[in-house]
Amino acid sequence: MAKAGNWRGPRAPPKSNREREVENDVFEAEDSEPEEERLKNKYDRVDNYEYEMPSDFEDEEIDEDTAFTAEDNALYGHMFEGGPSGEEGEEGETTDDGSDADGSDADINLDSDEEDAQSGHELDDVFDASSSEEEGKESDDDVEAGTARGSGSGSGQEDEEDDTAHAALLAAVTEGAPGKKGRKERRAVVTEAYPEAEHNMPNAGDLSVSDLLQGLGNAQTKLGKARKTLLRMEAKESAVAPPLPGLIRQRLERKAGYEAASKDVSKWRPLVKANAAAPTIHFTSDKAAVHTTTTVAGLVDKHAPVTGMEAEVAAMLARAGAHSDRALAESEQALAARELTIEELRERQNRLAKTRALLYYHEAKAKRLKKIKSKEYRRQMKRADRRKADKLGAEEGGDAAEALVAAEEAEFARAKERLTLKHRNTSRWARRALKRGANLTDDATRAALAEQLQLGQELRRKVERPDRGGADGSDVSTSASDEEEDSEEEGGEGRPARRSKLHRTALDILEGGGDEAGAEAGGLLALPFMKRAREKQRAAALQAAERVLAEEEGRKAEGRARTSGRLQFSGDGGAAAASVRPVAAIAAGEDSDLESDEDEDVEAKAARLARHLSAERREEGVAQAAAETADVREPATVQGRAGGGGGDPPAAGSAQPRQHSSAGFVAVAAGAGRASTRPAVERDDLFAPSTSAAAKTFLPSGSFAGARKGYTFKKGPQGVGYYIDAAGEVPAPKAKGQVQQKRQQGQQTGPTKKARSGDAGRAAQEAELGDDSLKPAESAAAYTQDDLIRMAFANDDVAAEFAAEKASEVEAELPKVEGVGTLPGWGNWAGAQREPAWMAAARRKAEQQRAAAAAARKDAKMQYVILSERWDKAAAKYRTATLPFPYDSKETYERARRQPLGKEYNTDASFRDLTRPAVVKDAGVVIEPLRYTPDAAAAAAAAPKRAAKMPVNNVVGGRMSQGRLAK
Amino acid sequence: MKVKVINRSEEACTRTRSQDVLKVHRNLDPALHPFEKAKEYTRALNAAKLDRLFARPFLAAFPHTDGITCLARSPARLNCLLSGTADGEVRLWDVAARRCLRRLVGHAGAVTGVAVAPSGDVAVSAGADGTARLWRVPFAPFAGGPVERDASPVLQWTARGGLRGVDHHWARSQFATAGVGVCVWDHARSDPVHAFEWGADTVASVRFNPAEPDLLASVGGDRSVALYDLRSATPLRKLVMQTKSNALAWNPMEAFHFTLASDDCNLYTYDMRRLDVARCVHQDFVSAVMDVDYSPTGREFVAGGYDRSLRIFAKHGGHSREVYTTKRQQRVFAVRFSGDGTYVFSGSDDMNVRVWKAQASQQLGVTLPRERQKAAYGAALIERHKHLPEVRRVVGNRRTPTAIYKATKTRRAVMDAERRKLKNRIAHSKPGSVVVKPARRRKIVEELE
Repeated sequence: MAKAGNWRGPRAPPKSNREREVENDVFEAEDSEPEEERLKNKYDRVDNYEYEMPSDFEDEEIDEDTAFTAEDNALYGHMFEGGPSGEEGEEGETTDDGSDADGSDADINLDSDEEDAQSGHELDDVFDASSSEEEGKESDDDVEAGTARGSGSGSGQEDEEDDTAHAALLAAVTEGAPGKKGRKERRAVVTEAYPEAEHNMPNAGDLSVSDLLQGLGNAQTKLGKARKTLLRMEAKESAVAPPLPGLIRQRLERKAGYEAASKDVSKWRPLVKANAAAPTIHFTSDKAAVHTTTTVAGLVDKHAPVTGMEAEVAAMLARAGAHSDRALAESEQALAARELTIEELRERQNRLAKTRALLYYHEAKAKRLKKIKSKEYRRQMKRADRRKADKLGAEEGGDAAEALVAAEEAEFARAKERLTLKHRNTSRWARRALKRGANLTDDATRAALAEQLQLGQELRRKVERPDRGGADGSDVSTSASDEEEDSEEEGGEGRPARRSKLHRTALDILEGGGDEAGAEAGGLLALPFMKRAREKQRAAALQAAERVLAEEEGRKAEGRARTSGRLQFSGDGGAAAASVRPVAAIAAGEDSDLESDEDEDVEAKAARLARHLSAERREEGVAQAAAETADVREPATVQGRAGGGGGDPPAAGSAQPRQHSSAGFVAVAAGAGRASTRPAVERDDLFAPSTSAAAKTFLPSGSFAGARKGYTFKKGPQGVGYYIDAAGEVPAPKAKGQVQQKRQQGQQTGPTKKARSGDAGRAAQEAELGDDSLKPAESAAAYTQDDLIRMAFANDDVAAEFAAEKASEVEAELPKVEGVGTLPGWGNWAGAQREPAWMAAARRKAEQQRAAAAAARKDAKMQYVILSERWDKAAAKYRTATLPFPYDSKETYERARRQPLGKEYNTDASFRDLTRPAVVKDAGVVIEPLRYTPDAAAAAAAAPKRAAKMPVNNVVGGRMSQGRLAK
Repeated sequence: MKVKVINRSEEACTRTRSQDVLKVHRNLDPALHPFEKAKEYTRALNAAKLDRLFARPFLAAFPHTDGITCLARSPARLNCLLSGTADGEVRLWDVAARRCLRRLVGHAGAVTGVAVAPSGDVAVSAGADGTARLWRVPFAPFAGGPVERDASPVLQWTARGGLRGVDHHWARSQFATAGVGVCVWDHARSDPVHAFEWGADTVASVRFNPAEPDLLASVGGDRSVALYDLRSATPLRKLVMQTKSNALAWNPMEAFHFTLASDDCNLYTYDMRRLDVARCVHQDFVSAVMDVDYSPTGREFVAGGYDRSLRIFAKHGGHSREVYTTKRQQRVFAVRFSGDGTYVFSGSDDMNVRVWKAQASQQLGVTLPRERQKAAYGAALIERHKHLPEVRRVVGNRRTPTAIYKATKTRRAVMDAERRKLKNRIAHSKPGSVVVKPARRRKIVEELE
């Protein structure tokens, strides 16, 4: 009913109070304008000569409420066609519920929405229509009522008359009926139950059973049973709600369907998320689904002959009755049932006997063949037997005579070899052959040499064997080179022989064997503090070497009293090794672990010692050469060296060994040894009063007058002149230095014995610095550390240099400000005396800009750092212009790229994890669309956000599962 | 004294076969492998270059006698491909052997769509003559040589008007045709089991959802995309865009995502639960996109364009990762991924079905583990360094035909101009008065319930 509310028939003249609504009406608006309206601007505008109201004219204001009061309405209401007042009166009379006030209310609400109209009004409408019909006119309300029930397609005048007639008829029927109220309520919800069409009767109101019964009046009783049925029908009356119009219904269906489908399809979310999160998804085939036969029986069962041969075989089998298990069983049975004849039995026995004989022959042959062995095999076996016998003899102690014979035999063989020296390749022939060396083409010669070598090796092995067994049972392998020297010495004195190498090395050190290896060098090695540290170190080494020699001497003296033999030295050897240990510790500088290794080869120690010292000597030689040429004496900065660590042990680090060595030194000095005399001599030499100690610190001189020993010519705090060298103020080094210089001048080929011993002595003196009696009057300790550093860097102002460098760098990188004001001579008149203000301002501005740029630099507040801000074109290709998409910060991006991917940086497993592709497909597998199962979804949802190690989603035939990939 | 000797087991250090690779013992001490970043950068660059060097995607061309209008792959077999042409012929190809097995003859007009049943035994084709026909699809025989034979349809259905497309249900023996509305047919019935009509315009293409087989979607001439549900036998929703879509494809791994091939040179991926905004806009074509198909892995899709190219996009890729063209390739009307996601098929107006590799530089055939590892390492390196300018330049470098190249440039100029204009408009308007719609919403007109 409400949907026709806005529709106004064209015939209904617009009421004054409804004009606004009419304007909005689409239908009305579409109506064409009247011609005079359209054409009113057709002509040019001309002046209006008509009378016009004066501009100050004011019309009288009349209040709307007071303009047409109820009294007026009562008087003049009938003059307005279809006026509400007249009808209202009728209405008030006809309907009981409509009071005066109610009526006016309805009047005011006329142009409001009709939807909230009460049922009473609707009924009123009906009566309105009936009354207005007499006047031959229709009110708005009539139209509404008509169109609400009729079709929208222009129903004619007659139709509407029919409608109203019907309504009137209905009213007549139902007049005075008591159940009117309930009927009205029901009417309010009734909608069309049939397609809208012009021939359909408008559903003006329902004719209920009770209405009909009411119409019968007293005649109802005559109906009898039928009345009861009718009444029951009426009570049961509950019409099925009519369906909605098709379009709306479909829309609602679609909406509901979409919501349901959306909700349903959302169940895939965990699967989709799990797929997206997995680093790798692996599409593979469902191997379990493929049916395969793996048992032999199954294969046989399935087998069907295809090729010709197979068919033939099958036919033969069938002929023989062996084509199936059953046939076989049957034939077996038949066979078992058969009885043997005598001939058959004999034949069988014969056959069996023959087979047995053949087997026996074969066995015998094999036995014989097995006995035949090669010569080499025999030889080895023999040797093994002998060895076994030796061992047995040694263990049991019985058969001592036999063992003795064997030992003698071995000893004889060794002696023979020693005499011939066939194993050493040291005979004249061998030496010549070796000299020819590379172009040794003669096979025989080569073979002979090789044989000699082999012999030597074998012999050495012989020597080794008892030693191995006796001294250290756990030693399995020994380097052959270690034993090389043994054979040279007496067979029984393995350890002393080795010790002799140490001895020799020590002597070598004392004699300065490698000293001549002085090459030209400058730079760091030439610095005085380097020299000092090195000398200290060397001194310590020398001292240690001397101690070793002394020990050696003592032990020799001791040893002479005893009988010779290696076993006797074994106890002593350990002690000797222990005593040697400090030497090695000093020499190597890093051998703190030697304490634990009791069996450290003495020889190896000696070799290490020698190596270390020769290096030292080389450095020293270099330094000395540099010192001589430059004649520079700077105070040593021991601390600087101490931090160096590395191969050369710092002097400060060896305080403990030094004490040891000093003790050792005293002992050596006390004993009567070859080496013990030397330090005494050296001491005299060293501790002679130094002439330079009394020297002046500064000799003023206007110009350079040749080099002076211990002085440097420079411009210092006291003016230009010779300043005493800082190194010269420490008497001991200077004395040493002078001694060395003398030595070097005197003997270019190699340092003298004296000088070397001087070194050793100086080292000893230094080692005993703590001893008051040996401490010199003046020492380096008189200077503080700061003094030393200041003196070391007296002439170079590093900080200023750096600042200047930084300033120039910054200057180069600052933006160049160029302009009229900043370029001299530009923008100014030639010969102008004064700079214009604008130019000064421009210059000032440029300066400010540059200052701002300088202050904005990253290294602006760092005094000792230069951070170049130059755009590095070459480096640009290694960096991204912007932060790549998934990363939220530079750090994240860098972190993501930190771990290298390659095989040489990762273990095999992590390499595969890091480089595994996002999608792995097995070849030839048809990838099916993902299938949804609640279990899979639950598993995907329950999967941890970050699995332990590179999980892989396996998709097998559309089913997803989580696991790991082996590949 | 104890000297430790390096011990090697004979087994670990000897080869049983001459092809075997000796085990390499590596020391992973980082001190021994300095400059790892620089090394890997260089390797990445080299890998990228080699990748381009070995990019030879074109494998084969299968000739027809008229322009290809539609393609279909078998969901059950890898080597089975069907192609329909404008002269009403469908050909069945044995892709591996590069031969035609059958010529399916019967349609009176152009074949507009073809689809294979889930079992792979039968195929359905739809024609402009208003009929849908069922064909038997035989296995490719193992014996080599040409086996081209003609075959006629097994069944035939007549629709109300000309048909524009067909797609088969992924589980049942049903198929849907596009034409005057969307009709769903059963193999066993002569009349459609469902007929959906929503709006008066022709439906151009229809596709079933592989993961949720009862959902289907269609695109039509009214610039709309419509969703249907077979369970409730009702259309669900309709999305109207500014330009018409030519085809659509569902993601087989993500049941609610589908991609539209639009006339405005772009592809749009939507979530069927949120049709008010596209999930992703895939650009790069310079003319209308004619067809789209997802890889069975669900990670990428291929689209063919009216600009004579086909492009492969990652599912989230705003731009294509690959573009394939040849000198003779004309307008591409149909594209399909192979069942294993390794190959791409394209059918074009030049009467050829082409077979391409999905990964242009992938080595086909059996690969040794070391080869696989090498390839994986190269790919991982490229992936890691792809943001660096040099690597990006090499990886993204594609030579396109002059027409596409110029059109790309023009399009870029036009788009730049638009962007500039918009920027100016924003700059010179009252703040907030110019409402900029994001690209993902720009083309959406409305969502009909």
